[in-house]
Amino acid sequence: MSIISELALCVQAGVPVLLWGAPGVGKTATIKGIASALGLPCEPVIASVREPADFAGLPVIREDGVVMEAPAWAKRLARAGRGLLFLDEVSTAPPAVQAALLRVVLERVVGDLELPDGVAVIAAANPPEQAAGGWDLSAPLANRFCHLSWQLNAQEWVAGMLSGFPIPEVPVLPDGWEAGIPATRALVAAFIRHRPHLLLQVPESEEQAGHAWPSPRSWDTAARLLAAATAAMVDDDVVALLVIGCVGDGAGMEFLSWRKNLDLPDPEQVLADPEGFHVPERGDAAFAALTAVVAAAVGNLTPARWSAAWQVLARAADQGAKDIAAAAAKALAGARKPNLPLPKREMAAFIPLLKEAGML
Amino acid sequence: MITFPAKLQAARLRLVKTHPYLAAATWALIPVESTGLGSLAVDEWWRVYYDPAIIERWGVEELAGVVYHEIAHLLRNHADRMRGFDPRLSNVAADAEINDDLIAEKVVLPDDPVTPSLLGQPDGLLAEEYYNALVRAQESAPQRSSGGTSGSKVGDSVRRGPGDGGDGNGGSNAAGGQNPLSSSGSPADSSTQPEASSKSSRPSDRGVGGAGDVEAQTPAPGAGRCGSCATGHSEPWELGAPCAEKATGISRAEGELIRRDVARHIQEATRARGSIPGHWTRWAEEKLRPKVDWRRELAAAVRHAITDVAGASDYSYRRPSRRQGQVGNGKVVLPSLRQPVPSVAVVVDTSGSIDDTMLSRALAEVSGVLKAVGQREGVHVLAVDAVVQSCRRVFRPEQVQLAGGGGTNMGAGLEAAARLRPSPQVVIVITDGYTPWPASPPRGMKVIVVLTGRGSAPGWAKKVVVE
Repeated sequence: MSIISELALCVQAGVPVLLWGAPGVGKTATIKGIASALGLPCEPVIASVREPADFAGLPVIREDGVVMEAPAWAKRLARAGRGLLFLDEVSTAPPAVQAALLRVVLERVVGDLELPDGVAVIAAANPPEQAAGGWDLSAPLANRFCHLSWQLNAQEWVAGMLSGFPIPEVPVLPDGWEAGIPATRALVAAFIRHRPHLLLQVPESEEQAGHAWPSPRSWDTAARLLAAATAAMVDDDVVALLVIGCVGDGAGMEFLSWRKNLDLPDPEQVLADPEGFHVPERGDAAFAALTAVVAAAVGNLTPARWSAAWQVLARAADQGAKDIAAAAAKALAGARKPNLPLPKREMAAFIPLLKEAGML
Repeated sequence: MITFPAKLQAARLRLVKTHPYLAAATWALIPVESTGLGSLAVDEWWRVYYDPAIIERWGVEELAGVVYHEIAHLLRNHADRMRGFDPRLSNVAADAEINDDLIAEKVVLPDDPVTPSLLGQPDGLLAEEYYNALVRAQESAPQRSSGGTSGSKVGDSVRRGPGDGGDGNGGSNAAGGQNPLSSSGSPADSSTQPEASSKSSRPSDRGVGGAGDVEAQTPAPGAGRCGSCATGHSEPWELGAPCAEKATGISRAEGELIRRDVARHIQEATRARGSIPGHWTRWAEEKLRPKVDWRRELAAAVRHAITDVAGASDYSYRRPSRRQGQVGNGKVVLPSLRQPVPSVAVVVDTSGSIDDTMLSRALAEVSGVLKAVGQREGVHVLAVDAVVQSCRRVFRPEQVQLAGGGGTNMGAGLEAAARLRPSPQVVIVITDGYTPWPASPPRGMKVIVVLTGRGSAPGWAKKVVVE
């Protein structure tokens, strides 16, 4: 189950995570399983039956004034130095309790007691329409979490019922993974420079405000998780779920597609050195790269750039992307000016294919 | 880079020429040669499995049609939508969803394509709806040992599954016989019926009514067997999920990026030229601007209004805290948490202009939401046209009488609600919006306007549009 990788990464990166799912799908059991797989003590606290004072601290009068005393579970975690604070039923907690949870979730402060850095926060919630007496998560609380949705897989469940549920295999972050954070922060910053409107988008409807949305804080979290995911070498799906879990669907997808295009070669460099061009492995990336090269050449058409662009297309065809190069060649040929030579040799390679496709 | 065979390259080029906005998806496909497959199929990781022999037999135009069809599966995300359903039926249903659009575009497909009319259904439905119809047809058809007697032809042919035609034709004729729908006697080819029944003693036909899907070996793109791109269910010839060492494929996240990319291109193309098939414009619109369900929006608005009121005064000294005495040796008076239940009024527009079915849907939804947040009592319902017609303390949707007066004035309803005792903190107005509104919000009340028509709601109210 892929959600376990995402959960484990969030826990190890110290990012609070909120797990959405219908009642009875095994959220609690899985979180306990992850805690034992990572060797962390787990403290489950059911938020909906607690009072605000259980998170904000109970006032106790001492000689030197009033101390906000933390409850026993917080003291146990503080003594252990590390562990997993599991806040269950967050969405059914009354608004006053949710407000009290704000500092616990992000700054890990309970009453006057500060929990050590090694304590991670995982919360679980039922979607409000499925929970009896459920509330939407308040926007400030929702924005502090990385939101993950529980995916129920019937086949895995059947296998688990028949042969026992396996202990989850979790990706372990290597020491010093935090060294990657400056790079991912720079990446996120570069993206926001291009799309400043995506830095902060407070959702208009209450329903969406209770989920992930972009804000400076959630972009910062996304950068942290991106570094963790890079260090743990997890696959793209995990990265996508983590980013979208922090900043929401729209902004997250835009960031991911922007990041994908970063891997494309710079068209100006390609035109300067057509012999060194290697066509990207993936077809859609190859098409994007060739289109960019053609667009760059057409934008400033000189005889040298014209022939360089044809060389690039010929190289792409040699490397196996003949149909993709042919589509780009059609566009390039259409931009020919009278003073430019007809690239007979390069064109000849594409003509049979273009004819067969009905493009000539 | 793994290269497509020349003819498939030409087919891809042709598709990009006729549908330039699908370029990102078309080029992303990854070829996998699988000799002996007897056809072409696509899995949910965007890999195209092709048999070199069959590629030679089909024309470029047909191949382009097949690739187009499979891309439609991938873009419409049938793999995720149909996962967990019966793979055989869901493939037929997904094909029906696509093929009516493709036939309207005059796309050429090699096999006899599945169409909604073959399933006895109208065009333009979703795969899920066709699937339901198929399941119903299968349930109503009696279990039979061989094709021949009358019954639901669709349910039967689908249960019989593949294989009944292919072998009989020596596996050579891709266009004939392999279609699970045409092979067991649609009216058009009833002449082949005796042949089909006589073949049913072949081993491959033993799956009738039971393990019919096991022997799915030959894919038939567009005709009910497309591979896991249509069902989310791995077929025996597929490579399985991609991983780092072997079998490159397009992951889910990348697939979603490609979908968005294509959707953006479709929208740009629509703005520039406007000659895009309607099903793609609609798909792109939905992809980039997903509609929020008005029911969820309404529920959230009501919950939020009630939360606001309930949360406005959540500590009280009226009742001692249960921690009194434990803390501060009884010297400190602690507040306890209490949750006031706000009183709610529902103002229903019963004027002549309002659409009854919309009104009853909105009423049922409001009643459900109020029940869910624990508002069982203290809900006033006011039926209003130009004046207040009736006011009741019990909220049951079926009790609201439609007076059907001529004029409309929801302002009168809001004024009457403000005079109620205890005065309501939340007022839900259900109207079509063709009404004058007061210029300023009523004092001390949160107003949610549920619009069942195309009228307007005032800026100071939270608006939910019923669609």
